[in-house]
Order: sequence, then structure tokens, then C-alpha cells
Amino acid sequence: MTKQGDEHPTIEQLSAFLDKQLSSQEQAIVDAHLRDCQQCQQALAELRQTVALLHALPQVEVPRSFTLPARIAAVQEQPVHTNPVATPISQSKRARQNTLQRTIRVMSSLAAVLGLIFILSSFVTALPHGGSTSSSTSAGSASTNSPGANTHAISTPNQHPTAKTGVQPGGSPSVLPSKTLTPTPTSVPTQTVKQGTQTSTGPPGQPIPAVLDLSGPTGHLVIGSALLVLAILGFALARRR
Amino acid sequence: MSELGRESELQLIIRSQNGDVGAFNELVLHYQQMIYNVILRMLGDRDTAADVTQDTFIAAFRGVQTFRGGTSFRAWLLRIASNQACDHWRRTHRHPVESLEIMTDEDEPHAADILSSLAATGQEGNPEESLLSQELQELIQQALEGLPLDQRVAVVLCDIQGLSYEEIAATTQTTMGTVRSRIARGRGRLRKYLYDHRELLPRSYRLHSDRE
Repeated sequence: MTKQGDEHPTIEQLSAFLDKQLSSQEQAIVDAHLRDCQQCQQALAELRQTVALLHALPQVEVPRSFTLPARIAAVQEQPVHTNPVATPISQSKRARQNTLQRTIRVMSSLAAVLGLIFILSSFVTALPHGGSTSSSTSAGSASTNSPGANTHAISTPNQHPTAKTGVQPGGSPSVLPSKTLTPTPTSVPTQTVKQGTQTSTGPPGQPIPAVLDLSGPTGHLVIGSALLVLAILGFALARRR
Repeated sequence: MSELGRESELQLIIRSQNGDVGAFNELVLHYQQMIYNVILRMLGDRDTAADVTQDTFIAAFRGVQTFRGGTSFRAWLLRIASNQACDHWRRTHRHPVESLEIMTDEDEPHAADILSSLAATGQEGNPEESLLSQELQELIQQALEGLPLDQRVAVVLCDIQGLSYEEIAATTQTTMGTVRSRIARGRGRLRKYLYDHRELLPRSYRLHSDRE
């Protein structure tokens, strides 16, 4: 600052002047300047009034006591000063965990949907064995037919493809695979479905065990249940994290 | 605030550091009024201020081990309180109010008469008259909430709580120069805000300039 009084003190100097926080030399300079400068007197008066207003704000009574319950001692430790450091790390960790959790959940629900479709299709593919030529897709008739169809498939696997070829053009099996295709972009299930239709339309090959025969309703049921179990496991895993 | 002696405060702190909740609660009872008011002036809302005050004392108890005698316990506690309040403010105000940000510090020179007419006289008359009107209190509170957080902390501690520059520097872990500058800029903005909103203020405040 110049020793002369022609240069106005800054607002910081005026504010500090108000609190007597200037060095004695500075204080003297500002003091001398104020004696002659109307404008700075005004500014100082305004600052003083502002401070007076703030000072006049009442102290508000506490709405309640903020004492801590005795059990808080049990959760001791963890100094507050480490918190700011710890937060960014734990946050990124949590974010990574979240994406993992979300992926598991999505995969699980995908598996659940697939599993349900397989289980349902095991009932519907059983339909033709019931011998109904009218293509009824109602779940009720399919489920009532399934026990008989199941035993049918196990006892005489040879009969199955021939029956299928008869219904194939307008029947329910052709409807269902297209349904299963839409929600699953993964290659494995579509292949199995294709295989199923191929073997069913093709000539009767060697007898396969019913459980492994993907075209058979039992095979579908097994795959479906396996997928469902997988889905449930996935959900359980996602929840525990 | 004077009923708790230096010696007994130290005793209470040591006992708190050994996990004595009862001892810590004596410190809470002693400081809660000030902590609550600092937070209230920073945030504006009473319920929120109560929550943040509670969080402050919980954090203080958990961190009391880290308190070293170098600074005053009050400054240490105020630092936790202002940090908690600032964190809360940042969480709830992602987009800061810019009305005060764009203001310059140097501005209209003739606000003094208006401001002095706004100030309650306080010295004489009965206690009721010494209180600011509700409207004026709210206006000042709004003005405070428009300040950047660092200036707000400094002004609240200095002009509302009456702390020294030294103690504010200890609380905010800055230098005296920084404290001085924050207080000055905060006051400058408040002055401007109050002047700009003078029409909202009641007429009953009579001119009473330069009362010191």
C-alpha cells in the first residue's frame, strides 16, 4: 500500500480494519485515508452495519439434547480423519461390485426365463403324442396330456418322430421354438431347439435315453430345471454380496 | 461457555478417549448450543441442522482418539461440524446458487443508510425490541446461504459466533491471511445482497448509523 492517502484501501483492508486485524502500520494508513475519503467512510459504515446485522441474529435454542447413547461405545474406532481418504476407494470398489452383481442378476433372470420356457415346452411338445390334430396351445390341455405323453416317449421313442412330422406344419412345436428364439440371443439354446426339430423331422435314428434326448419332453424338462436351479443359485449369490 | 474449566475439559477429553461416553456427553452438553447454531446458520433448516449436529457428535466421538492437545477442542469440534455441514450442503445442492457468485465486491457506495436503518438497535429498550424481525432474519439467512462455503464458514464463525481470526484459522486449517480475505469477501457479498433486497425489509427499522 502506498503511504499516501490517495489510494483507496481494499475491501479486505477495510474489513480487517473493522476487526483491528491490520498491522499497526497498515492501520495507521487506512485511518489516515478514512479521515479524508467520504467514499471509504461510507464503505466502512456499510461493512460495519452488515456485521452488526449478523451479530444481531439470535442464538437458537437446541431442539433436543445431542448426547450419545451409552451403546455407541461398542461401535468405537474408525477415526473420522481417515474417512475422506477411504471414501473414494470404497466407492469405486462398491461400483465394481454393483456391476458384477447386476451382471449376475441379468444372467440369472435370463437362465430363469430359458428354464421356464424349456419346462413349458416339455409340456407342449408332449402334445402331439396325445394325438390331438387340432392345434390347441392352451396350457391346460398340454399339462393334462403330459404324463401320458411322457411315458409314451420313454417306452417308444421310435413313434415320436413320426407323430411329430404329422403335426409339424401347423402344430404347436413350430410355434414354440420361435418363441424361445426371441428372448435368447445366445447360441446354445437355439442350437438345441434346432437340433430338436431336425431330429424330429429326420428319419428315426438309434434310440437315445429319454433324459438326454433334447427333442423329447423329458430332456426339455431336465434342461429347464437345470437352468432354473442355476438361476436360483445366481440370485442367491447376487443377494449375498 | 465458561463454566467448563480448561482442566476439567482436558479430563473429560481423556476419559472420552478411553471410551467413556458419559464424559463425552458432558462435552456434548457444553458445546451443542454453539455447534447447532453454526450448522443452522450454514444450512438454514432447523431439522437438517439437528441431524447434522447429531452426526457431528457421533463423528467426534469416533474420532476423539485423533484429537491432540495442540489446538483447542472447540476448534477441533467446529472443524468436524463445518465439514459435516459443507458435505451436507454439497450433497443437497449440486448446482450452486449463482446469484451471489456473479456479484462483484466493489459496488454501490450508498448502501450504508439503508443498512443502518435495517440494523436493530439492541442497546436500549426492552429485549423484544432488540430482536431482528422475522423477515430480516430470513433475509440474512438467505444471504448467508448464497455465500460460497468457505466464506460462509468464515463469516458465521467470525460475525455470528464471535471467534477470533486465529481460532477460525485453526478451525478451517488455513492461514490468517486466507481467513481475513474470506471474511472480507463474505461480508462484501452480504452487504450487496442486503442492499439489493432492501425493499423486502420492514420500514420499522429506523436509521441508526455509526453506533460504535
